[in-house]
Amino acid sequence: MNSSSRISKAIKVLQGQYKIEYSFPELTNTIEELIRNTNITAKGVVVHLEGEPGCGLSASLEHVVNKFGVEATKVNYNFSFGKLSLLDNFAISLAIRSPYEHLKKAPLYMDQYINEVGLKLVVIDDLERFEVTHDNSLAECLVAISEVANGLVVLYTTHYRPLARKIEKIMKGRVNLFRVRMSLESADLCNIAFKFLNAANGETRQSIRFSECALEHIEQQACRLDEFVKILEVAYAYATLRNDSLLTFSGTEEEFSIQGSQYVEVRAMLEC
Amino acid sequence: MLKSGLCSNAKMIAGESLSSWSYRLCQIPEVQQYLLHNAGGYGRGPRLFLSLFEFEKREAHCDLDFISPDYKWKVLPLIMGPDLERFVKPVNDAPMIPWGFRRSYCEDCMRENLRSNCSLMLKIAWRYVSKPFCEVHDMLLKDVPRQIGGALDAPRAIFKWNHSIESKNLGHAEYVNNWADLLKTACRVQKKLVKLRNLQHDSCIYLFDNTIMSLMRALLTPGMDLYRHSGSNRLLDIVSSEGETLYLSCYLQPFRASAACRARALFFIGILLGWVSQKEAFKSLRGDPWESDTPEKIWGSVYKFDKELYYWLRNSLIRFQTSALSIYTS
Repeated sequence: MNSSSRISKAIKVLQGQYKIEYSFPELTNTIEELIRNTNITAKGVVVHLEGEPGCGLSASLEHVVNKFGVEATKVNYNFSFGKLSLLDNFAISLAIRSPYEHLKKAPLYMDQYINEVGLKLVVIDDLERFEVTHDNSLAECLVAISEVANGLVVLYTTHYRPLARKIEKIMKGRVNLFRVRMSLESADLCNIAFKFLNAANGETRQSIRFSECALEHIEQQACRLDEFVKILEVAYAYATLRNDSLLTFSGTEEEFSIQGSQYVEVRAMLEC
Repeated sequence: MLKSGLCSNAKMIAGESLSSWSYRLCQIPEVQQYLLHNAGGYGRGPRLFLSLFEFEKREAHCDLDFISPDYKWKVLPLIMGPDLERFVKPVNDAPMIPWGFRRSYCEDCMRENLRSNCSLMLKIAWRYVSKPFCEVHDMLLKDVPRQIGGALDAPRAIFKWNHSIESKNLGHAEYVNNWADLLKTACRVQKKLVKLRNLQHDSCIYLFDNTIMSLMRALLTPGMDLYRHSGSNRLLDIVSSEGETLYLSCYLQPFRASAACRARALFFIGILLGWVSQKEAFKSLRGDPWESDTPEKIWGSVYKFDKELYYWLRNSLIRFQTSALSIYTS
């Protein structure tokens, strides 16, 4: 392998061109159970996924959407100067929104559409982004989505506590509310590290492995998921550039990585 | 062209119309991103495009389900790739309902496609004048108001209208139930016509098509006894414009008539061709002695309505005479 191919492989990893799917193991089982119950009771369920920032909530939501396939949809945020409500964005994600109407409640054809398609799960990441007014409309929209058709499971995340409390208040007695608290454990980090290694090796066609000290090091750490993946990317890119078969990183290197200095250094090296 | 892995649900569905495909492609985020990136010069701010045609700023009065052989558009070939050539304007194709009057759809086909592909779709087959029945389900096509069928996001708009209260008030199911025998016979006539047309040589097809169109024009002329029947007031025909001459409305009516009216015209064509017996016609017309259940009565009805129309029809039938269709002319 010559230096240019090593650089291109390292760039692939640094640009995140591999696919790593991660979710808290119990999350999909919980949702499957909720979907089953929703079908029986024909009532919507709202699940609030709580966790520290960076503990992998968004990654988990992505994984859940991929896992459920056509039964799930993710409501993406569309920039509209605050004109599009959550229901409008939901209609866009279903590809049935007309630009000539602003939805305040779920229309009849939405029920029919969802019944035909077989949608069961709606995923909303960072719910507070969809706020267009300062009244309860966002929370009401969320409840309206959960009650569409024969009842849907709505999985959402938000770090804006007053909004979560408002939703709890509005939904009292109308739909079920679950709160799932998430945190990254050392076992989760190991799991992520191995998934990353497999994905990166698959993308760059290499067989780099973790050194023992690196594994020990991972188990002792507690950090944000995105930062952890960034450390892994940098370490993997270095191993590729140095043509190493083992991935090692010491404590000092990792600290540098968190500060971003090493990351910048590697990028600068790759770009020149 | 978009990478196939990028949008697996962007593949053209068999029998799908170009306008429907253009609409479906616009639902893919990557396509929207591409359009937004390339629409920078318009200065209209961030917006979502309904269809690729909206981005292309198509001229009015052009048919969005077919492309001209000398097309020079930018976006369609880039995104759709070589499949686009399938939509070059067809030669020797059966008479089509113009884009402006497009509005028939099969509810079952839409539903099945929704289940299998999770997207709404319109078929090109719903635009043939002489095919008021779905070829897959043998069901009478439904109709939407003109402005809905002509929308760029027609698949969505039609689906929405189908589940609206206005649609339910039309009583399509009731009409189909009341005229079940007639529609069954008309469906048989449609199948026979399609089969016969496929056997024709390319050079003779225009005679075949013109014969059928002449008959349809005469039978669907507004104001005729054959055209008016129980439940016809709810069939959503496109109303003729004010000051329109009889001959103009006669020319346009097969394109403007609802699928139910076209099916009824096919039934009478079946009688004229001798494919429907008098007994069967009488039963299909619910035993009404005033209805035209024989070729003589049909000709008489046309003659009584307008002699000039009658002679025009006779001349047309002689002019486009073909051995494939032997029409009873008294």
